[in-house]
Amino acid sequence: MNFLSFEFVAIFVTFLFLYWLPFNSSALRNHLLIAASYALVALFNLQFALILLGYSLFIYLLANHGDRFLRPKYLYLLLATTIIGLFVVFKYYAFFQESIQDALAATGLQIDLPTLSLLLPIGLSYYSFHSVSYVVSVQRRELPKASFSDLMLYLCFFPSIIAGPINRARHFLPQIQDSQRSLLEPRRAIFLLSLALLKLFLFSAWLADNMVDPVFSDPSGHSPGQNLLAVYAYAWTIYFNFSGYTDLVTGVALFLGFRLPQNFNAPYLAVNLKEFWSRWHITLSSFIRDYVYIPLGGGRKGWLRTQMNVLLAMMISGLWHGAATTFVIWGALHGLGVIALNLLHNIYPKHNTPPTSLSFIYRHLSRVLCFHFVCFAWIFFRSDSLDHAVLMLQSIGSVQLQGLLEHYAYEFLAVAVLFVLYPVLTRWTERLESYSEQMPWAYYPVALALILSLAFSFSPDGMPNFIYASF
Amino acid sequence: MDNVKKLLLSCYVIFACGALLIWMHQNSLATFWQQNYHQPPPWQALHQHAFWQAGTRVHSATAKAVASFVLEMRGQPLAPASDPVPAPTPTPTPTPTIEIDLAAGLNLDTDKGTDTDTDTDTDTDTDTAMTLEPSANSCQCPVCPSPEDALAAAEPLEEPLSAAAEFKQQAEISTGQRVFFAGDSMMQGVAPHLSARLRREYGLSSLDLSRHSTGLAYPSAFNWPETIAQTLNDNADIKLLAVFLGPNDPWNMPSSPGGKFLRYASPAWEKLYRSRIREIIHSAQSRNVDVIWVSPPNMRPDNLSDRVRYLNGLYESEVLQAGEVFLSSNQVFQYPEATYSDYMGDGSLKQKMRSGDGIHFTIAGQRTLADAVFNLITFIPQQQAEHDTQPASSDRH
Repeated sequence: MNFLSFEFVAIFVTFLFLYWLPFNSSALRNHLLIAASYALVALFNLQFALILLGYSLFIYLLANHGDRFLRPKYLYLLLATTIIGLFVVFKYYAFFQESIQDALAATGLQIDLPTLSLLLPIGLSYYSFHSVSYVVSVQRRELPKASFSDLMLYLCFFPSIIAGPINRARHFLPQIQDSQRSLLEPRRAIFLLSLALLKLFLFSAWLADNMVDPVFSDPSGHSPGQNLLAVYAYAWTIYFNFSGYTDLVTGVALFLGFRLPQNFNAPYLAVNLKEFWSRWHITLSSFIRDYVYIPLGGGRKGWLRTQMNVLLAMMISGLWHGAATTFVIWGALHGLGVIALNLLHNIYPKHNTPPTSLSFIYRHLSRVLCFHFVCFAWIFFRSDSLDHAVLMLQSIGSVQLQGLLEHYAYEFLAVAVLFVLYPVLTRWTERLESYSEQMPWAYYPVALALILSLAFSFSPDGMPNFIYASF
Repeated sequence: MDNVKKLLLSCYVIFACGALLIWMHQNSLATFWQQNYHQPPPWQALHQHAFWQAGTRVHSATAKAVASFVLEMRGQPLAPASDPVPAPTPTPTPTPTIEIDLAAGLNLDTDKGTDTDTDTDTDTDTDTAMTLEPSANSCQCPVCPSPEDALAAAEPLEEPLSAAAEFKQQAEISTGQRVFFAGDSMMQGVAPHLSARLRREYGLSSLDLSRHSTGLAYPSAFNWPETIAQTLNDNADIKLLAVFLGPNDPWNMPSSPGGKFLRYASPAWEKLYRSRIREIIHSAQSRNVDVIWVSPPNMRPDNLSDRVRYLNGLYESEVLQAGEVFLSSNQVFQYPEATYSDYMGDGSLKQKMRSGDGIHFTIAGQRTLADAVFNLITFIPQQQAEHDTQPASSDRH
């Protein structure tokens, strides 16, 4: 069931009445949430719900009872093997099978590896990461062992199971176990839902339909200017799409009495890649840092090893998004970018900052540079294949300024204006979000209806996709 | 504030805002509702009230104001208020009444043509999420044909194909001519590969108007017969039309905008649907444009797959009877009968062809289909085309 459908709205509102009205027991509410979450997963496919149940049971036994039989090192090894196994079977098998076949074919060896037709269980990429957080927190004694039902809810909580954000057990389980739950900031929740509709239906869908999808699907059939515009447009498309989705589920969770972690913090304000990753998909980047980069050795084993760890962590982050060479290259590019930044900081230590008079220019140039590097990497992230990415880069390589000004002056002006005004727009949105809790109830629906009506008037037909739901 | 009060106030905002939005966007939301739930929207009864109709006028006035603003900003002249809406380009009228005994050779399974299953249906709007649809049986429209009518629709309605016109094996195109792609999200995946190959190998350009969530069942959402006729009219260099659609269609559909709903696969439904296929083919033929019609392959969701196979029978009979080129993607993917596979049905290629939803295609699948369509196109270089023009034109009908 799509979160943006009429039936979801109807069922969710009915569910809220059942959830908040008849009793005042968090335990009962938790059971209702578990039932609703499993029902949602089962609507996609009953087997997905059974896999989720089986996985929850495995994690419960491993985290709550496994330490009686296994030392933490082996317990983590078992957990990692299980998750990698699940990912390989459900997510990566076809990619590995085809890649190995192609590589062997290139050496003249024709071998047909067996095929496997399995559906990727909805939410596997997210609830498996949730489980890592729980197992590690319990082993580190940051968290008491949770009951099976609490753990079930932590893993299946429907607002964040489909496309995140990735909740940490330390922050989320206490909310599940809190006996004083209440409906949180309802007007802010409604504001977030409306903002999500605006981002998804208007900005993301319009850019995707008009500037991104046609070009990325056939780069050589479009002019260099269109290719370049498509890259800029995709940077905003994916931002509006994913941050819009995050706003949506954050609003839904507030109605249920839960606070989800922040996933975005104006990422295109970043002046370097490290800052970008502290602003973009924050829950994933912090997860990769804590559970991949640091266990690999982090920055504790010398400069060279640190850089290798950065590169590896970023490539794993890329592969998490999907089984394709393009995602691995995307991750590797970000890894190499961070390494280059580290190298730069080695040569010019941070305390050698430019004089104040130059810091304004320095900061904004850095922001422009960082945005363009991120856009460059997005080419690989969005392209259907490596061939398409190369075609697009070749096309962009032949861009001529005169041609751009002649044919796409307004479009590039719009891109520039959006980039320049982005800090202001971010501030306005934050202020509006804060103000929303003071909005008079009586006028609220009228104001929202007018804004959303305008948005729907310009939005393309059809229901927008959630890009991150497919990862 | 306690939870109940917060909830009631929140519901007030959500429902009041929702009601205002439905009031202002009632037409587009009605179309959306029809496409997704295959029945009239619940607010249809309100249409007779003046206050409800005012919503359409408010929206229409706003849309016109915005359109005028955009035109003015672009420096384009505004049409005088008194000017009538430009008359649509006359499109070739399809056979006005299609007699049932004129329709041709179908291979229908009786259990496919009926609408008696109670399974939920799978929407095809997104690549990533399967949306559950209400059962087609849920249509409460009083005029829907009975299940008996639907069963009757499963009977062969048309003459055997042997009596049909001679059909082409290949479509032809020459230097300087263009290919026009029409279809839904399946075509959106295939067209770029085909377009790139045509450009690379023959230097041909193409026009891709494919749009997701479109088909022939809901012309109020997107009218393919009209769009195709208009596009062919405006682009005389188009020589080949490739059509690939279907999975958005096999549900109850309105007989006319705002009209009564016809039950899927009933005789009336089939008659109307066939007329739209014919309208497209006729548009092309009347402009000397060849047609390649690609039928959707079997799909993982059984209910959708069965329904699409019924549609394929309609496409095949209409296209072959009109003497155009028909490509069965089931044959391309080597699927035996009604089976579905993520890979080639005969196991000949260990490369995944279908995407996770079991409806769309992987890049390899898109390329395979694009190659199959490409192989049905004969490129005639300019000189030879000119030489062949006379005899070729006399062969047209």
